[in-house]
Amino acid sequence: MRDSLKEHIESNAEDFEVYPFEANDWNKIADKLDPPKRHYKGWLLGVAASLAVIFISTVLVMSSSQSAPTDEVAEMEGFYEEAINAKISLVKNKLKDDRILEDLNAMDEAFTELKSDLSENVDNEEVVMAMMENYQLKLQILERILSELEKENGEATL
Amino acid sequence: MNSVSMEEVSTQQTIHKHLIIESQKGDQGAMSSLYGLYSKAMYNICRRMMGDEEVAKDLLQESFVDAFQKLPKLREVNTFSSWIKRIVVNNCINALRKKRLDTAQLEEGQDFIEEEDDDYEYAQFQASQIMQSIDSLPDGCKTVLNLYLFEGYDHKEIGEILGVTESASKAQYCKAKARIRKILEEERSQNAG
Repeated sequence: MRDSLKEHIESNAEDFEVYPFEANDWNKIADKLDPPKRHYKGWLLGVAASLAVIFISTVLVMSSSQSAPTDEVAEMEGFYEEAINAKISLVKNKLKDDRILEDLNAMDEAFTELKSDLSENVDNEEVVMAMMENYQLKLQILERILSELEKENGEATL
Repeated sequence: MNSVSMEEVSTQQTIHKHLIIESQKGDQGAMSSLYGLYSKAMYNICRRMMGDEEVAKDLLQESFVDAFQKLPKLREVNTFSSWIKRIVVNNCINALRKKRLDTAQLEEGQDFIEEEDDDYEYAQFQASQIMQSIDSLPDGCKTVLNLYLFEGYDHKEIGEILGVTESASKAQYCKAKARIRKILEEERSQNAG
């Protein structure tokens, strides 16, 4: 079925861009654009807030406790440290975002500082349980970050 | 394009791809350059579909903001051109719907005209005359005609986009063309008289 209007427009496409336009309003668009990577920042702030709550809870529990075994603690600590470090390196590989890596480092520093503050008191069963819980929660948070990243990568491939 | 060598085309494509990749990383300089490259063509889509300069400019801005926010998720950078066009077209259709584009009326009058060979000599008119006649069409059949003629969608796709049947889209297109021919003929008679 011949369609001379379609043929005419297709063979003279540029002539039909008849409406003049000056591309001089870029600033209005730039103003409406989110700063890059803001998306990640939102849920990382949430994660940071959760960690802060966990740390404070741990400090409170530890400050009100006394004495327990130390070898087992060191062994469990080693286990969790290894698992957490593995997750952190996975997150770092997937993120490739300096600012977020800085946030993660800041979290690690806070955790190390806290551990050092608490080291004098690590011989009470209640304290040990609180520490293990702390490690488990950190692992869960890292797993959540990884799952979010995988979900986003999955969406990006659509 | 005739005077542009294959080497130049390849260089342009490389720069183009680079701009898209840098924009995906959030580089506003690259985004601004992409805007410079695409804004006129995208504005023309908005202006054709909306029929109003200011509305078209607002929609253009909205579409580029949408596009740059979604750009990091675009995997195939080679599809950028058709991808951004689809964003612009979708925004125009949403705006027309808000403006109460009555797609139900597109289903009416499907027996208006059967598809037939069209040998009308459109080349005797300026592009601006043809565009003026398109601009004067009612929103419904103008939307169908724009999507079919300028944006390259077939009637099945237009039916899906607008939520009407394929035959309704075809009928509206034939109706729109008949009106355009009528307007152009009247104009020619006036000029001759």
